[in-house]
Amino acid sequence: MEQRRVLEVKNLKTSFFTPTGEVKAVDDVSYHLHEQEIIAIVGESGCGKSVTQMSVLQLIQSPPGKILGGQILFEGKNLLDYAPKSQEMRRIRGAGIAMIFQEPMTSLNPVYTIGEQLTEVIRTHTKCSRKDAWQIGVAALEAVGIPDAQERMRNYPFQMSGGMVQRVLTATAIACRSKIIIADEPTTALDVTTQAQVMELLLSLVEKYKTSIIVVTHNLGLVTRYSHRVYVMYAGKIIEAGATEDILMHPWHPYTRGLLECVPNLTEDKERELVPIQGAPPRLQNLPPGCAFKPRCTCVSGLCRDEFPTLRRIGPNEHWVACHLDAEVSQA
Amino acid sequence: MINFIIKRILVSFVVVFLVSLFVFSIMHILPGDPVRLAMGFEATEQDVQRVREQLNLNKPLVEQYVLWIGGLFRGEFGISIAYHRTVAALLQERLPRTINLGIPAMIFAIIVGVGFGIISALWRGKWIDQVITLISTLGAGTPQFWLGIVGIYIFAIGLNWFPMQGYTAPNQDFALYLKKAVMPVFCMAIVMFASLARQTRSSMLEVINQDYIRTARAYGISEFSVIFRHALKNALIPVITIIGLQVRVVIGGSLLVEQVFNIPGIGTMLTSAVSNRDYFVVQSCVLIISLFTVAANLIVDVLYGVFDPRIRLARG
Amino acid sequence: MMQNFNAESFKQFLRVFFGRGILVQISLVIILIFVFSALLAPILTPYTPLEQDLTQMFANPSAAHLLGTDNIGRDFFTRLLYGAQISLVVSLLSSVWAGVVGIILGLIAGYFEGLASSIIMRVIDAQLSIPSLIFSMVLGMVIGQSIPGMAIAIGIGAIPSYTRMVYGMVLSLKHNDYITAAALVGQSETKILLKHLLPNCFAPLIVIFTMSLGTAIMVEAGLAYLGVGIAAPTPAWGVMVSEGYKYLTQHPRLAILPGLCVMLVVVAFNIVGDGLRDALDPRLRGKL
Repeated sequence: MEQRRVLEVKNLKTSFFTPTGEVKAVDDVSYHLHEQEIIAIVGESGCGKSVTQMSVLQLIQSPPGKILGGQILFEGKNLLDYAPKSQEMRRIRGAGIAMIFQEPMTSLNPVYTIGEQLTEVIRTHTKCSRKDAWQIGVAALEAVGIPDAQERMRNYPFQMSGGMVQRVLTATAIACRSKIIIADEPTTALDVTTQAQVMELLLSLVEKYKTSIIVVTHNLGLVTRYSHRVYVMYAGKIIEAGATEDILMHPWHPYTRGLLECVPNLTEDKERELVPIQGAPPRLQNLPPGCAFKPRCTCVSGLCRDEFPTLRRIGPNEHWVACHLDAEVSQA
Repeated sequence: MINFIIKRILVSFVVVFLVSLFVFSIMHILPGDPVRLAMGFEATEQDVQRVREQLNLNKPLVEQYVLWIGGLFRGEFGISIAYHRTVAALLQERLPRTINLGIPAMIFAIIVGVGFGIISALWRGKWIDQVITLISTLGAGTPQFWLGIVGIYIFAIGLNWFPMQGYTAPNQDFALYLKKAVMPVFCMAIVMFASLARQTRSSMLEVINQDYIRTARAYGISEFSVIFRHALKNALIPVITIIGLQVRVVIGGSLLVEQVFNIPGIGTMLTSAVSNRDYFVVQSCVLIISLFTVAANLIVDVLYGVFDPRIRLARG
Repeated sequence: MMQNFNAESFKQFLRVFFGRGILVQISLVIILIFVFSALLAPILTPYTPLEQDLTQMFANPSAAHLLGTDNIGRDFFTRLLYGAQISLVVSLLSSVWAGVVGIILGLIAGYFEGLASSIIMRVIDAQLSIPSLIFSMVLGMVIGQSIPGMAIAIGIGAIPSYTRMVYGMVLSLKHNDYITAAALVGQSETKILLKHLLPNCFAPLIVIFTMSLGTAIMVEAGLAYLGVGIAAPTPAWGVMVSEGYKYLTQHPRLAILPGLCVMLVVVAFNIVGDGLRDALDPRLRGKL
């Protein structure tokens, strides 16, 4: 069954040019998103997962950042054909692809009310009166489960909790009928009970509004419950990709396995030890040739030193990995 | 917010009271007899004594203070020994002149300073930013009296664009008022302009990097609205503080500028009152000036509430 | 800052300080020239600043008189040099004296919260409601229009910035967790406060001091220009501008050069102060 792809990113390259050299934050990254699908992009902080999403909306600050190449196909158009400040690009932001950010408490303007900010976004994307925009806004707030929506419209962000502001941002995306919602670490700043609520909310949007969702996270535990497919990123590259099931049951790349080993799990045997991955993520300036993970890898071979492993398909499903390891070794 | 404003008003009263104590005591530990000084040595001892009595200077200090403050509330500020007129009359005549130059100077400084600051921030590192930064750096360290003299040399003596000196009331001859006001207003504004441009630039740059600006852009808000609606309102909050602080700098500068351009305002009156040891003029002028700055700071406090809902809606 | 003061951090400091561009370097040169002219004035010129030569009134610049002479034949270059001396003395004296008093007041206000601090801080507020030029002018009227008198009057005007900084620092240290923790395990709180205060105040104090040197020169010149500061015939720069102004049309240099000196020195101190702030402690940006 071939599903329609609502977003397809091909060979995206984004670099930051700092005084100490070029930082290849996104290095030849490709992924896609099907209609009504939730995918997860997983990796440690600094691996380029957020920069990838910011590149999709062309929100990279330039200078020092620059998108060097690739294609971002959305609704049959390559978004990189538009200038970052163009009218076309602005129409996509919010109405086509909307983003929800990591820090809810600083993500909304402190000096305007929720209503003022919500209606401004709505009126940017839909021709309607102030009053209509207000009604659309109230409806959107109600849709994401905010009680007393009329009242809340008159509140300032500082009068709300983090989870509530997160919902407001989600409501903004709904109000503009966004096809895709990119949630950048949507739960990191929230407490555990709110985390689940936010994820359930996102899940419900897929059903109700036929939205597709990209969740960017460092939390593999979150991924297992909600996403259909997973992309694992390391040092600016995708190193493993596949259906959530495949990744969880048969992780191939030593890094993916490392990530899974440090996820606490209540259902498995309690004797299992949590094993942290040794070392720290590499600095992306002047990466040496070969595999970027090799300094931290437990099964380095000669090949890893000289040659960067390209993504290859393993098994019958769409399971891809960028690692020199052989099947037998990996499963051992 | 209401509580906040009430608290600020109470503090302002304390401040004005302390200032009144300060000027009053300063004038009374002055060496020498101000009346004798003002009347000259040819005046008889009886005459001097009579004037002292007229001015209540022979009464106990506490009574003098109470009389002075009481007079202030009735609009009586005492008598100028040097001008032989009531201070109230002098103020009535001179205060409008200083205000007619000082207020335009502040408005000019705020508009141009904030405007240049925004331009500087938006074109950070470009030549326009460097020029504005240089102007504001020089402006903050330029002696205003010297700037006035250089201006007179270039634009009055050299180019003959403006009259050298003097003041004409705007309701008398508006065109002439404008011609005479250009240079003094610019000189009065320069220091305030410089610090506003610097503060606006740095606070714009800080705000532009905030998360909520990224959010606004990520939801397709136009760049115009991002800068002038979302960023500017936040960036202006610290700028308002500077405006409050700079009011007193403009007032201080008016002394120098009025001297250079020979403008018969409060500044020149205060300067000559200090040289002549003219008691009541100094007392009342300084107190009125501090009233002005205190009032300006109260307005600033209210503006805070207007710009920042976190202050407006705070309890207590 | 001071706690881990070593060669590496000093190098870092120099890198940031000089990395700010050519203006910082020019400013340092201006300050050096200013200080040397002030110190070496008697050596650099054969004349004295008050020595009149009525045969040489309004002489144009020449080998004998580098910048010409003024209206009563005094050597103008000599007067500028001695003007630097006056500016340097007044600014140093006033800044040091303001620093000492300001720091003590700030310590008292911060250490004894409550009545003492409210009194001190309200008095500071009151002072700040009067423009510093006017404040120093009124004080100068009482203390006297001499060089030490002016230094005291101008210094008092500079006290608030020191007091506020030290006050804020003491308060934030007092409510800091590690100070509270140290006090909990039985160390004397006062001792700990003092121990941590110096390293924390070091950077802002240097910056405020540098800036207040510039401000003092500015206020001194302003008062002298108005005729309520250092009085003629003393060759203060402000006095020279005021005297030269009368001859602006024919001899503009008499008014313009001394004022230019004031501007160059004040701007130089401001730029160096800015540079020091960014190099010593970037967090102070926007606060000082």
